[in-house]
Amino acid sequence: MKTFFLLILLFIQNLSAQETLTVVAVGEAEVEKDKISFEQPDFEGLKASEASAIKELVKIWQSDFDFYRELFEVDKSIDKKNEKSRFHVNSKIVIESDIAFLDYKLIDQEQKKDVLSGKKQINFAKIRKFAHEISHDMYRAITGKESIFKSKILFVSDRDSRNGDTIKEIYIMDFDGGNKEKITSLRSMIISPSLSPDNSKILFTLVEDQIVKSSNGKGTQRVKNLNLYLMDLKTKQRKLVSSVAGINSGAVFSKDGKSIYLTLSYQKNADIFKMDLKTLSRTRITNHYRDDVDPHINADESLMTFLSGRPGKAMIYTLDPSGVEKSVKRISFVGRFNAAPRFNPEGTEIVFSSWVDDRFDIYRIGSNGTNLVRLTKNFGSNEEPWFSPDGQFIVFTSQRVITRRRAVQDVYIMNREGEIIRKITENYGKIFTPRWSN
Amino acid sequence: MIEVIQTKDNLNKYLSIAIVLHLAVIIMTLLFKLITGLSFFESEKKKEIEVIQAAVRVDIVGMPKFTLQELKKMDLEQGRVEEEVKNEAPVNETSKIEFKKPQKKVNIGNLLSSYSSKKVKTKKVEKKKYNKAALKELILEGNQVSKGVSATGENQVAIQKEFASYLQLLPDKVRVYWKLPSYLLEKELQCRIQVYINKDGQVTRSNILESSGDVSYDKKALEAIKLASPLPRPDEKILKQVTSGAVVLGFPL
Repeated sequence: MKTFFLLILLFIQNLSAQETLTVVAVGEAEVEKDKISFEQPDFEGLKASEASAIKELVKIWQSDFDFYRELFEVDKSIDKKNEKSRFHVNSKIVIESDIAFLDYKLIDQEQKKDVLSGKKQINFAKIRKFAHEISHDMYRAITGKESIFKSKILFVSDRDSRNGDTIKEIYIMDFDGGNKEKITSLRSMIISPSLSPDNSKILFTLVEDQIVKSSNGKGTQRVKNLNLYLMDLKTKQRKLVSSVAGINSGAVFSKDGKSIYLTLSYQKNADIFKMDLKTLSRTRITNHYRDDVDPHINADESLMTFLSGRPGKAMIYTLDPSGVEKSVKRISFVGRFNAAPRFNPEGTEIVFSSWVDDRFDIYRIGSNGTNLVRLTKNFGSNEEPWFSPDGQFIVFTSQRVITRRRAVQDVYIMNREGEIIRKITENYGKIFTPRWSN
Repeated sequence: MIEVIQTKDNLNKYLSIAIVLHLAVIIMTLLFKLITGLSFFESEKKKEIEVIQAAVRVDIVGMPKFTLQELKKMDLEQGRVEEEVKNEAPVNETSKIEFKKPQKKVNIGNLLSSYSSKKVKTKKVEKKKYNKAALKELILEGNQVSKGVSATGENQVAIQKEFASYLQLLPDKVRVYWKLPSYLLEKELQCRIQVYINKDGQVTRSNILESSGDVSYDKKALEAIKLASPLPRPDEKILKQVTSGAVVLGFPL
């Protein structure tokens, strides 16, 4: 009887034994690319120049979507409908009262629905702008997000330098390198430009001669000073904002565009200040006997990143710009010399360049100092990174030494994972400080 | 004396009744499980779920030598090498891989439940979203070793350790094949799949334990497991666990 009971108990115990399941998190999936194809519209009956503009249109659409190669695989053929692509764009030219319109349709062939359709008057003279606007609408209709297709890049080039005199002027171009336009003609040395949040104004520093009292107190002397200017992009009118002795540079706009953050060195060592653009009154942000330069703020202006020589070599720091030396935090702990820290639009990541193996390379780090990753290597000397307005791309300059006396420096774009998308300038002088519009 | 004998007779009588009743309950339980396929202890199973994520915490001592692109390439090449090995491996005919939900056996119970299901109104399956913050936190936490159950004795501890280290090999192996189209990725869904792994690392069976509510999403997760199979070979010590479906893969968590 006892054995029988024991058997039953064991049987019941076995039945009720708890089986442990262990969940192993696989992690987030990688995105599978969507194939997109563009069909060239029939341009019969158009003038030769108009026909070539239409050919250009489809090429620009293809080129635009190729930037987002992590999301899309662009079909290079344009002759016929690609049944296998997920998204397909077809369009036709409609002439109404001698005015040409483009009637276009973006179709999701997988889900069998029209994603976007529209009819726009074709601007043959400004076909690049026309094409970028439509590709932006298509990208937004598919992803629900803003694209970079209508954005611009501000930069400095020395292409006007003559006979050993270095002249650096400001230029602006489309995000893909098209439509380059000269902004300044000061025949001087301009450094460190910056765009306002509404892209209507720029700040820049001009290297100017200044007459100051001699150090021995007798007479005056001519010295170089770095003065800060504000310029309206539409009227091209400029205004002196700051010209105290020393550096008045590295300025960036506040979120509302009414104030600026800049580096001043009138007290011998460089510190960061906030300045009201209307009253020109300034408030101190950093206060340290070592130099603090290159401020950049995050989207809600709750955090500022800057470069500081506090630890003995240039390292990246963050602080709360609402006070003086408030919540200062060191972000980088490695690298021989770090430079130009810039936030992504959300303020969660910082890109910067660092001197490694006799050249600069670009790195990305979380704003809290975690997840340091290297983005460039064996690709010349790479500096001045700046995030795109959607945070998916980084524009930077890359220098290639051609001979002992000659080097070229051009603008490149890579995605945030470090995949080089393309070079966007060529033979346009040595290019410095590219800044992506907002 | 007569009273004592009578009491003893009564005791035996009640004892017999009790045994018969207990046996009846057990038999009823077994019959219920056989017919419906449900277990009374299923809920207890779920309570015991533990989540682990393989990750390595790295202390930074210098600027990274490799770029993100190089690291990605290494991951891909590793995947390719393993794939080649997988292709060369002899086909084990005895272990048929079932990636479809196993069909229920045709019996009276199944028939009854299929008929009854026609009358019952079906509840719309809610799409299961995952907590992105939780996943990030989990990854940041780094290596975590499964707590294990009532580990007594050195042998048991060794088994638990072996099991934990085996589990940490799985995410990297499966993640190479875990891909979603953008429209599915944006939905931020989650599903969990129970896998049965044989001694060669082959996934012999996979059950959707928790569906995302989106058929395409679940299908993509099953595909990732299929492509990742064979998984690393389990040590003999942990064969009992991995062959009995103790491993659940969470997509993504």
